[in-house]
Amino acid sequence: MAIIIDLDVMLAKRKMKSAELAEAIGITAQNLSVLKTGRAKAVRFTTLDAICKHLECQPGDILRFESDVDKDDR
Amino acid sequence: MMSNVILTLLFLTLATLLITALVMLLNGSDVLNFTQANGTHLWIGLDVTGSWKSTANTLSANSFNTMTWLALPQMLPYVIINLILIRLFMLYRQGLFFNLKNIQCFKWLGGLLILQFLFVAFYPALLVTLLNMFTGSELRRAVVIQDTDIISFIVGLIIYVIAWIMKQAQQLQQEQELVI
Repeated sequence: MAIIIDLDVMLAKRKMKSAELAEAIGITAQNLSVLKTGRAKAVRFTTLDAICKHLECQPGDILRFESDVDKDDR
Repeated sequence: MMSNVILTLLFLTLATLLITALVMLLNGSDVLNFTQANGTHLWIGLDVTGSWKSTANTLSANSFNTMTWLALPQMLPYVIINLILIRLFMLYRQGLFFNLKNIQCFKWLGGLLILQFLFVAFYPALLVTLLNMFTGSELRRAVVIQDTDIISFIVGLIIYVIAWIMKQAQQLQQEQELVI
């Protein structure tokens, strides 16, 4: 998909473990893994809000757009 | 809890159907025939009912065994329906509601009821044709369709549509599971 989730980069920057974040924002570790691996179909605003709050970052730090067309051209 | 009660009833029905069929095949008699002078009548056995009745009369008038030729085949779809329902309620007991296996059960159930309509309509005529061919008898063929057969056909169609709706629901649930 064109939307890339950079959650593990942000987690590394904050030196936080996935399980820790999952517990802090109230979702299961499996669901956080689904989000990290890009298998998620959608992200709730409440989840995004909680992640940004706990990682002290902006949504743009976690989500990135990469055009599929650019990828094909390369 | 509810699915346990229904499962018990389904198992009882299946056991009754199978025991009756077995006793009919082995002994050729009713499983239970209890009649008293005061009018109490309790009976478990096999009988040809509905649209096959006229063919049953023709066959028995020509000394063919209606139990083997008609009553047992008539029972067969009910045994299969029972087995499908048992499988469906087993899945419900496991907490699986919008699963591909459930959808498969609904599809089988709908399909079976639709096929049963064709079976009920054409089996007696086909049977009489075969008997006439192989035994040299000249029995009258009849295709009889009763309102109950049409109702079961419509129910089959509705169940098939439900299976389709359940497939949509299953896709929605799958999508919902991937919303974090």
